[in-house]
Amino acid sequence: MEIRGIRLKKHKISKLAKGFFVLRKSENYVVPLSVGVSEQSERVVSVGDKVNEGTLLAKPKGKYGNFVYSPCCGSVVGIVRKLNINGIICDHVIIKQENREDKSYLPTMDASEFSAEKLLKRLYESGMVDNFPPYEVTYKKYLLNSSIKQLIINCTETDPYEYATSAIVQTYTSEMFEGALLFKTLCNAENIIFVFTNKQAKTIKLFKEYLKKRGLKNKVKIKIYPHIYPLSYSRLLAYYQTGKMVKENSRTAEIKVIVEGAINCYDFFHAVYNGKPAIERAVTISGNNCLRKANYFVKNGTPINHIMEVVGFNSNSYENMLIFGGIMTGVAQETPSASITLAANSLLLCDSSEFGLEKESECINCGKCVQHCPVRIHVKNVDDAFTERDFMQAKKLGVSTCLNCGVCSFVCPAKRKLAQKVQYMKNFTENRRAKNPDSSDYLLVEGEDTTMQQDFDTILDVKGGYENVKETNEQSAALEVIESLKEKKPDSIISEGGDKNE
Amino acid sequence: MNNKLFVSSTPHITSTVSTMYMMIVMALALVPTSVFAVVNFGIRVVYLILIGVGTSYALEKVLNLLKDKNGQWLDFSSVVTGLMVTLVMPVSVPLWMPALGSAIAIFVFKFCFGGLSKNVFNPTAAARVILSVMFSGLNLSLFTGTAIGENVASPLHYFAMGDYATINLRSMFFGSVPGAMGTVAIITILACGIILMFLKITDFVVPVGAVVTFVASVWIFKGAVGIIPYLFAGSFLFACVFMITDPVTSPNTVWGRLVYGLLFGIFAGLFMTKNVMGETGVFVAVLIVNLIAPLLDKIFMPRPLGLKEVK
Ligand code: SF4
Ligand code: SF4
Repeated sequence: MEIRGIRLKKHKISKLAKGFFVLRKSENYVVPLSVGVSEQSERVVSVGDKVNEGTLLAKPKGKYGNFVYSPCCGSVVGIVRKLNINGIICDHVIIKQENREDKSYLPTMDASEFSAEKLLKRLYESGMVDNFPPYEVTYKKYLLNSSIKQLIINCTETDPYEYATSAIVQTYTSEMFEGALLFKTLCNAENIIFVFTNKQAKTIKLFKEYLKKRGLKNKVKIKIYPHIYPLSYSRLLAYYQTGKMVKENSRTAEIKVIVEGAINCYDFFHAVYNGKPAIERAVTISGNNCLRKANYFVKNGTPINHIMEVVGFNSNSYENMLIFGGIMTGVAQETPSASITLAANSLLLCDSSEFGLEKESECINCGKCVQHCPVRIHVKNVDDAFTERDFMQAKKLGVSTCLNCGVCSFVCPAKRKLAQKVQYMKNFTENRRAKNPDSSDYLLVEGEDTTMQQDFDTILDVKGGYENVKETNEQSAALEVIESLKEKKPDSIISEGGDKNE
Repeated sequence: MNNKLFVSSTPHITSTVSTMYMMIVMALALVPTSVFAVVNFGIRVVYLILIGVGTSYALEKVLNLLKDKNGQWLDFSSVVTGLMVTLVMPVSVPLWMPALGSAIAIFVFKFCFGGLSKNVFNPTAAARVILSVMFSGLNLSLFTGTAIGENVASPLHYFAMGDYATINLRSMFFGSVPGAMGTVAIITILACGIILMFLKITDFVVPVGAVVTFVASVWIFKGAVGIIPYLFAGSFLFACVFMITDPVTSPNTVWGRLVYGLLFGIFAGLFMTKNVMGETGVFVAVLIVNLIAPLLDKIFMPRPLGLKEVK
């Protein structure tokens, strides 16, 4: 099987401290009620409530919502509505931290209770979210209607600046392994396989030593892939393992495979044995100007300001850029008043000039983008279709199968913003489908696309490819609340959003 | 610190290989060949190169000004074109010939097709073919001389008559035989080709494919004894390394490129062994495969993995 992609050098983060650190508690936590791309959950707390670590803050409203739990002990001091780091507008609960150690976790589970249904229920209740694309709630993967042949535990890391997965496998091998076995029980998979890349020699060695100690040396399958960039994507891993590609918009369970991240295994272990819901995540925090680069356990809703302070990032002299989730896959933004969500496995703090994108020039028809695209999209033709706003053509060219891995933009010698354009075309065709599900015709009615076109053209110009997500009045008001939170006493803050009647 | 939420999509880094970098390396790769040409054919080569490169660079700048596209990037592709156009001529050409060749390449085959990356034909090969058609009366003396006014038959001339003894293979390898300035020194061409592939500026699929079928067709038409002499004669290897690997005119996919290379080898072998248009045959072969490239792109269109059929 041909593995397409690029060989990216692992970035050598100098002085990345070994092991894990727990981030010092923040004064406030701003917990988003929509994590990743899931829809917003229904809030069950209101301003003034006292909460413990692990108290339920919100429960799912729609089909694929998730449970949100309080990351700390404290009291709810405000509810704001703003964008989360994944660019979704949702309510955020502001919690003022208090120095208590009370925990209201879920009940712990006994080994006798480990049945598929009970574990699925626990996975649902724990509110876990994938920290890899497409950032959905984890339990969604396990809503099965067919048997599962293979459970793939993804221990690979191909994005530079991401180290959390390796660190989890190295430091918490047994928890991770037990968690993986729990997932195996949960989906009743025939076999389980751990995948690594050949750049993770130390991790593999430690994992093998662990297996040897447990006497499982030849019973657990390990597969080592070459270190080629978009390998960690679930759909691709499933493809390389089985030779079958999942159809667009469907889950890997369709081809009897489930791909699970190693960090998820670790979290699920704690959710089952300790009843600890999803309130924190292993995150690599790094960046050239960070003093204390390391892997941290970061609580959901920790404000970026606080993280910057703790890791010693000098935020005054730079125009900051924050990249959540790796330099190739992550989302970049410049708002330190944002807070972290569970859907992040790395946070890169940097100066925005460090990673600016270059100016586009004419395509030289070299075919690099076509030869490197892991899902074999003819990216160059999509680029042409974009220029002509020919959405039907783009759909035929298969933009809906794009992983948004960014390989095409990376290799293009003319520095064309290919991945961005493919993504734009993909979103556009899919939104139209969402609006009018019966229609298979995406041709444009004349004049209909002008606003989007204008929007996108400005996006391309603003700051070398940053999408300027426009703020509504509502959001700026919300941001002001957060700003004032830093200065004034939290008590004086009036709650915003849908809370006025209470 | 502003409070606007800026979200940008991936990726945040790009590779260090840019168009400009590719063109600069390409130009540098032509330098050893040019130096060899100066050693073999004398100082006149320097004048010819300066005229060719100067014309093509100046013309490109002027045309870009007219098109209001100036300042996009420092244009090294015109330098490469000018250099190549000059190097595929023999040293005996009049001084205005490189200028005319560059002008044809840049104006007709690049600008008129819509500028960089829109051209269908390789400008160098096209200009070379046009020149030899325009000056067909001068053709023999023009394209085989070693110095001004001298008329020496090129190796191909002897090979066509089945004479492999007159031309020494060793001198062919080091370029001291009659022929186009830049194309005779096989050693530098091979070395530069390997370096270019190593730096991933060009890929190895096209040239290797071309050499394979070229050898096969020479074998068929001339027997095993002709393989090495024909491989080293004329401009075949030069075209393999610098022309058909040109990103603009070659197909996009790996399979398309392979077929493209194979076809080029067949045509070049055919034209050279049958002595169609003499030295120019190779360049005609380049133009023919250039024409086939869009078709190959269609045939070898990749199929996206996991795409549902569009109803
Ligand atoms: S088209 Fe999509 S899947 Fe293909 S390389 Fe570009 S971003 Fe990746
Ligand atoms: S990689 Fe860039 S320059 Fe090359 S064909 Fe694709 S879009 Fe054009």
